[in-house]
Amino acid sequence: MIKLIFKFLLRNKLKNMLLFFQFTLSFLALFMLTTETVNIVKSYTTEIGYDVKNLIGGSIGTTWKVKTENEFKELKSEMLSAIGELRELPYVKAAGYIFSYPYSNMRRVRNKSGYSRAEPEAIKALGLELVDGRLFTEDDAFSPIEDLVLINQKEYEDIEAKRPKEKIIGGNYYQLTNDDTTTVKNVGKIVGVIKEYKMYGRFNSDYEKFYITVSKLANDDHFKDNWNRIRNNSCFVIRIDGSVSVSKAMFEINKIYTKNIQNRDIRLYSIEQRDELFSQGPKRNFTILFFICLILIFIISIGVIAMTKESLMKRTKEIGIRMALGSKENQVMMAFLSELLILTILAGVFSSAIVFTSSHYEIIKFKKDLLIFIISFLTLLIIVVTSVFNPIRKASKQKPNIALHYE
Amino acid sequence: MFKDYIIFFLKKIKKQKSNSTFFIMGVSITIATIVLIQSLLTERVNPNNFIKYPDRMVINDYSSRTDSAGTSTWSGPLNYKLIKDYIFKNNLQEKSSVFSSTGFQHWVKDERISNRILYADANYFDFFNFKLINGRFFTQQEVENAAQVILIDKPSSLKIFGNLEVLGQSIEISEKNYQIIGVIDAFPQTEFANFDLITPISNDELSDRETTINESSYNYSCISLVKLQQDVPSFKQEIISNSKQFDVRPEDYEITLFPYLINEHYFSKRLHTIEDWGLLNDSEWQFFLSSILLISILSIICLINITNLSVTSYLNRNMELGVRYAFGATWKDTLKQSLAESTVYIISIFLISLTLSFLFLGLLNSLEYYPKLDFKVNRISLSVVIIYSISFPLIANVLSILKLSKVYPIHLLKGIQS
Repeated sequence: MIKLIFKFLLRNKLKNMLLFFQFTLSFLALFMLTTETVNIVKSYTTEIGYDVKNLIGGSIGTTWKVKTENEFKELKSEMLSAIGELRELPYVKAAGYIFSYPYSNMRRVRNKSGYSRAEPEAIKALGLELVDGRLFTEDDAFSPIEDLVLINQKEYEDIEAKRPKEKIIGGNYYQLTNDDTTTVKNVGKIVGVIKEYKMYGRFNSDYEKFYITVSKLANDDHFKDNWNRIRNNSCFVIRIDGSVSVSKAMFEINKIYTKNIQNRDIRLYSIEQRDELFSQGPKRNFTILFFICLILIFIISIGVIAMTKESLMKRTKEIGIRMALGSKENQVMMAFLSELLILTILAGVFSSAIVFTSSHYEIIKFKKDLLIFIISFLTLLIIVVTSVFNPIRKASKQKPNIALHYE
Repeated sequence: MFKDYIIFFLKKIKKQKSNSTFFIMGVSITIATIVLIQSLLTERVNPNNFIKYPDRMVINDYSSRTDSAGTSTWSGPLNYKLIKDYIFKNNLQEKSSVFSSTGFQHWVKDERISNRILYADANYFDFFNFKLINGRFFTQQEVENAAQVILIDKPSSLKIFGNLEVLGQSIEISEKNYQIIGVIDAFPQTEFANFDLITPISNDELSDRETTINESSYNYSCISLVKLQQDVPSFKQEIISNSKQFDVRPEDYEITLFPYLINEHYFSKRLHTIEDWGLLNDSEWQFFLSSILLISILSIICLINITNLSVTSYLNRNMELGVRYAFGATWKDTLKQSLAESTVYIISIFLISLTLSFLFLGLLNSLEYYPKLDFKVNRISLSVVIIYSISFPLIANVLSILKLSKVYPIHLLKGIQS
């Protein structure tokens, strides 16, 4: 059967080559659109670990300038008095210092894992969900262990896969995540596993693994050799209960901060607004690409309909012979559809090879995801079949005596 | 004769309504879409011709510090000391400007407004086509005296003050008041100019941190205008080689600079010195390639389909052509007719695609995806419309006629379509 289809395809080489070429190019465009679609769907369905609503993030400027013990103590006391006053506000549920608030541009990465440093109150403000072990406590700031660590589930699964026999909760994070254990100091202890924390937001899929160490802002000894370390606590997160608007709360928070902290720039952000802001780029790319692909689909459909009509017209006599020899409508339809199906499959395979080659040699970096390949192929198939279905159906309904009349 | 061709053509259009509509609309929509992609590609690079000399402006906003093992520990814009020591003294350049931008927030009544402020010297205005609505730019003397003056763009002026008559009013930034001396039409949004306010670089409280290239050293970008276009490669090479002399701590580290033309940032690969680290302008390069790929796909598919439509259309006119051939017409006569028909197609496609381009770009503006860009049908877009409107119908019709040149009149009259 397939041999016969190929025979028919080879009979009209040029036309079928053009169709094949068209399908290949269409597949590439659909692949680009599907990639954007899958990315955007994944972004909106992904678990980020915190609710962006009623969450405020902010930063204190020029903390890196701190060099001496006096500067450190002055800034620390200002920071603590500001956050203390904030916690007294009736609508504030929790507030604490953190290395970087969600959706911030500040990034730190170690061994392909995202990183942050946070006070127990900041973890509470974010509302991170505990899966195993425990969250940070106030006493952790004074722990003799340098870093107490919370890891997310992806990090946990990664460690578990690499070191199945080792105990993870209570283990040394740096030793468990680094293959060369001899170079790592015994400074990190995993205290708990949280469900998820995507600090860089839902639209950034660069770092799936994440770990948070406890902030030791309350413990002066931690900063002794390097007073400048206070810069790792220069951001804060505040969770409000929703009884006042985020904008009004930000106004109050700004007043408290500018009153307590002198000569430093204070920036405040509604995390919900930042979530919206960061979504603009992906939404824009998707809409533009979607529009272009719609037009492409329109052009492909016109072309495929025209080519099929012409081909059917030329093969009217063949249809008549098939019908005269006992073929049914469905069989004639299937014969023509299967030719196009074969062409679509060949184009899918060929364009997949282009995608792989292009990604391999980094010409255009396509995402090599099986799901995207399948969706793109099915979309192309649906476009082709819906475009040609009606002309083929009409042709197959011709009466054999009339069809045989054609030359 | 031409009149007869047009009569034949009009009859054909009447007979093959859907075929002709698909032909004209298919090509027009394709052209308008290509104009849309082209505008996205070019407007982001040089919105409204904002950049004065994109082929001579060398920018230097990225450097990295690498040890002998090839590990980079620090990367970022150019250090101010380097600019002062090397780039400003270069004989190949006509002019240079140093700048740095940062974000800040301020309260206007009960609303928190985020703005970006650009610290620049007076030369900066010579590199870009700013449209001054009110007032003036600041002078080099004001830069030297650290005068607390500022220029504001139109959207920010309207947002903060509600009008454009704001000369003499002040804006508070980091507890200092800056007097507004000029209002500029919306600053375009490019990689090198993304800000709402401009003030002299001497007002940047961090500008004295010019010497160290260590962690958290303060950095600036620099734009230089090279005297002659052919001097660009040697100017870039000179910056790179001079940077090797720069004192980097720890001592076994080496600084690498990546000077490039603004056009190169968008339209060519800018490789990192360490190959494995890929491209420095990866997203821009991918955007450029994807746009080219989409334009190619649209053009090729459209051309294949309209050529096929055209061939089908001529074959459907077998009786007409057969009779004409039988009475002595040659395929050259058919070619002439085809050219006459193409002219009608070209005019219709040009008008429709131009209208559609206005519509598509208007739609893009109304969506406000790029709030600081104003997409318009400009000279490049018009050239695209003209080239495609002429070439596509011509190619399609001529190819069809060439195919028909091999058909015998008897076959045409009998309706045999080989």
